[in-house]
Amino acid sequence: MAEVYLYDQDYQSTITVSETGLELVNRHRDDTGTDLVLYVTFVARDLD
Amino acid sequence: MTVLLSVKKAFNVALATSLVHLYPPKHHTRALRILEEVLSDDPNNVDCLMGRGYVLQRTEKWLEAASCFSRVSDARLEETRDTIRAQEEHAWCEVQMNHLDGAIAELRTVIELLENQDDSDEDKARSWWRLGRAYWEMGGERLVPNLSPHISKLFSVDHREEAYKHFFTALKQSSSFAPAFTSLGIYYSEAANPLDPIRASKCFQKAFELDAREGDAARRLAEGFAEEREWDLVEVVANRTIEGEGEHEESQGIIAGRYLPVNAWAWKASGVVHLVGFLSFTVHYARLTARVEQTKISFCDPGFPGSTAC
Repeated sequence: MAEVYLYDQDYQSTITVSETGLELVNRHRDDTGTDLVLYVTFVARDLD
Repeated sequence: MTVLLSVKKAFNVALATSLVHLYPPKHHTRALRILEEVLSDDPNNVDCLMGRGYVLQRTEKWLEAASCFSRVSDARLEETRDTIRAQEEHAWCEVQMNHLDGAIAELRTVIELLENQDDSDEDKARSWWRLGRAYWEMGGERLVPNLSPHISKLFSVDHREEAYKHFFTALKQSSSFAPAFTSLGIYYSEAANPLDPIRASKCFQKAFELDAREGDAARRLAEGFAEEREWDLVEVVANRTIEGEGEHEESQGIIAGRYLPVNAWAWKASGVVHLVGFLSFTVHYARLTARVEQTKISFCDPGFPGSTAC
């Protein structure tokens, strides 16, 4: 969402969304003791 | 399976980029802090290098800014939108450092590269305008040395005429590109033969309508209105300029940032307008008081009926 706002040059909304996102990332770290990790799974043919 | 650990970095990059471009240079201190943090982990991050370059441009550290943009063009071998923009910004730094011949060659390359890019009218307009500015910086007629002035004049070139053509080309690429209108206004008021102040004023008005951040156009407009004693119009221009640099941002509930006024003249103009308004108000009441005093005297005149009451 931040990327979309940034592409649209809506800087105020990008700032709001990025700050909210960073807050969520930090809260996740505080709650679980780990940094946020995103897993992306490829289909088997991509690994060949 | 791969693991992405870059969520925080992606948010930081988006945040820093927005802070660089939102009412520059209002949030640049905060932006620079975030940019340095990301660059310490990822020294070749293109968005952060570009952001750092823009911040350095604002502080007129042209050499350091040029080095930031060079790193972006060097980091990516193929021509992408970012590398083309980095080349353009590098050329603009060269213009500011008065390395005009190199800058002109670089800007012409950028314009050629942009021809192959879709949806790049704004970029093309900006590049043509910058090319025009480079020629403008070269100045008016240059006489050839070691020749008599009469013969030398035959071989001289007025670079400002060349600049004028490029400003027009910029507007052909994007008719809403405000800086080109400002530059055309300056041309009509300073370099055209004969000078055309009416057309210049129209250009400044158009530039200011399109973008309230066109400080030069706004200042020249306000000066014109002040000479004609149109104080209401001076106030409108000054207020819009102050709004354009983000003075009223906090009132809209947006992130707080220390306000850095860029156009000090707008504050001065606003002050003068208020002073003129206050003075006319004072003069009005002084006149009224004088009239009352006069009436009072005539009331107290011995010949006036009932003057014993005074």
